Amino acid sequence: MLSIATRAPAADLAVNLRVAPEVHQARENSPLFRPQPFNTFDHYSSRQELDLRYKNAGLNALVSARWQVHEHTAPDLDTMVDELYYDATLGTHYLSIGKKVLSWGVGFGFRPLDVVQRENRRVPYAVTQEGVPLLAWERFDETNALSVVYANPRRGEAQQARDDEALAARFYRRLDTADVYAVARGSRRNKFEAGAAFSQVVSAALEWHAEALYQRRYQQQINTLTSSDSALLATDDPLISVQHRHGHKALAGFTWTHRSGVSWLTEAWYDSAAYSARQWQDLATLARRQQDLLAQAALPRAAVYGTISYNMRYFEPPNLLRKNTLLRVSYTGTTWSPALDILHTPEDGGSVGTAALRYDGDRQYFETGVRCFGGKRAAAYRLLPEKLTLYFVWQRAWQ
Amino acid sequence: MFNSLFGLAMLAFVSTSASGADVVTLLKAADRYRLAAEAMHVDTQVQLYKNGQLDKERRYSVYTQPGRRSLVLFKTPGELGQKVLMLDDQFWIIVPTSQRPIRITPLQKLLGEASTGDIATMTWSEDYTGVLHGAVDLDGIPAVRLDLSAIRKGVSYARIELYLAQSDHHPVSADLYVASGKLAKRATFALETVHGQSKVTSMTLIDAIQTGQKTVIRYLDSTPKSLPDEVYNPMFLVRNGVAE
Repeated sequence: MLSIATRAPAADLAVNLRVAPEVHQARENSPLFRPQPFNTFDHYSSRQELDLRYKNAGLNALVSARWQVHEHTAPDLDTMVDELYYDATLGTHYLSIGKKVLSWGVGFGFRPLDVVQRENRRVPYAVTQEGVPLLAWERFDETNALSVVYANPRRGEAQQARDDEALAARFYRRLDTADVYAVARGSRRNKFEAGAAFSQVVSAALEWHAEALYQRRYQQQINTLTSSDSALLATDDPLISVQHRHGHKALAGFTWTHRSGVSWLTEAWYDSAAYSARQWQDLATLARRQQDLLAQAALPRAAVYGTISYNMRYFEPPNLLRKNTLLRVSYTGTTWSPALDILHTPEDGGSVGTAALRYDGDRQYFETGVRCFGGKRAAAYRLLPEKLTLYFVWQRAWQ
Repeated sequence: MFNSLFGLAMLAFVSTSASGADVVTLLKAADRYRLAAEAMHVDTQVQLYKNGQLDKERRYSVYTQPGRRSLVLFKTPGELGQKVLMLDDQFWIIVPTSQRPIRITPLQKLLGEASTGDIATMTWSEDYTGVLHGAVDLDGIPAVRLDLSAIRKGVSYARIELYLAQSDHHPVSADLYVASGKLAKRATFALETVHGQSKVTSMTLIDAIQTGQKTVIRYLDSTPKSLPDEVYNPMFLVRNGVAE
């Protein structure tokens, strides 16, 4: 007999309004920088989001209306069903059907085990996530949990990896002071993936965690012009997807918390699907040679800048480089909570520093922060045509 | 004169004759004023005052089960969907944006505007042992003082000086000390008769470290309620609708 999972059913409607204006400073000496009118770089932008979350028994819905304003484009309003799913119970079996957010990793800066929901962990402030269409079957007892998920049914190998049809499973066991996880996923694109993770509290102040994932196959988007001695311009997209075998991602880190409210997080991770320092150097060399073409009057500037714009896709993966370290110091207060974090890429000496301050009021919060991209001259983050982002977030909740 | 001597004699008698078993009996008696049954659901309101002004108000739904199992559901707009699970000395937090239980340390549990330990921990007898120190007068209420030490590592306070009314052992006040030996908070308990039974209906915490800060925790409604074992699996809590 099918029954809803809720023990004491109650309908809930919660509304969140978030306003997040941003100011961006361009790095005009980057070889990837494109001036107006070839540039879509926004010196300012603002993202307004109204979320409606509705829960009634096993039914869950999260719908958001987003109004985005960018410097050089008309305001854009769209609505999105971020989550819409039904949780049901069939005896000792638990089922979910619909579009749902699932997160399986244990890391803070990167989560290799997020094989179903690939969450961008490096956004400066929390945004509403879009769930994955799925069918899920789960079983629980007090210390174990087994989840089997059929994600993106009948999609096959989709255009975007996050939309790929896949079958994934996760086993969880709670030990005395630790949580341990084992994860497996099968898909046409990546074939077989498997990984494991743990998180352990070793003292009142210290927690450490680690996770690792093996991928039978993984892909990189490579600009074919980087390996060409002569061709510097392309009329079509010069990026191709290159298959690799035996990929691996791994992360380890710890959190130390002092009674005063100060926390220290350190993480280091490796991602074989990210670009190497050499690949970034090749891209920088290509971009500089493409910029040099602008001196040739015979070539249309739009064609040159159009080709340069393809290079920006190197910034799309979750990690720009394979080796990464993250340090984060934060203070959790009753009202004010400052945080400072530095992401470092040791292969090329790049860094991203973020300082943030959050004020928690009654039913609302305000956060402001600045994120700076920098490092050594040849670093990938110095190639980014942006020096810093200044952001403000105000969020108010109603029920 | 005779009364004073008798009082001193009684104090000496109480101080020296009390055994560990007496303390356990007293703590269990005191616990019953806060938690009438082993498995309970308590709707809780937390008001945070700063310099006498109401700064924030929060609502929680708290489930407690035997075996030191507690589940706190955050009910305030803006925090809705957030959950804290406590199993013995182990703690997890679930935030709705992530849909993933995060194992946290006992010290992380204490952070923020209202310690979930203060909200969810409603008994002393399972977590503390101690000695009966003596009789005192608390603003006209004859009381006994218990010096309690934590017997578990995950508790919020390493030491408590607890004052119980001599008449019926209801909790009157408590001084709460952290592991460093520092006085963290001073608690007072309000007693009312609900459905013919005396119950603690609110606890007021005066912060001794952040002066000018006061937290009032009101137990709005409490009913006996038992949840299935799987609800206390951290992974199960990601499912929406759990016990809500």
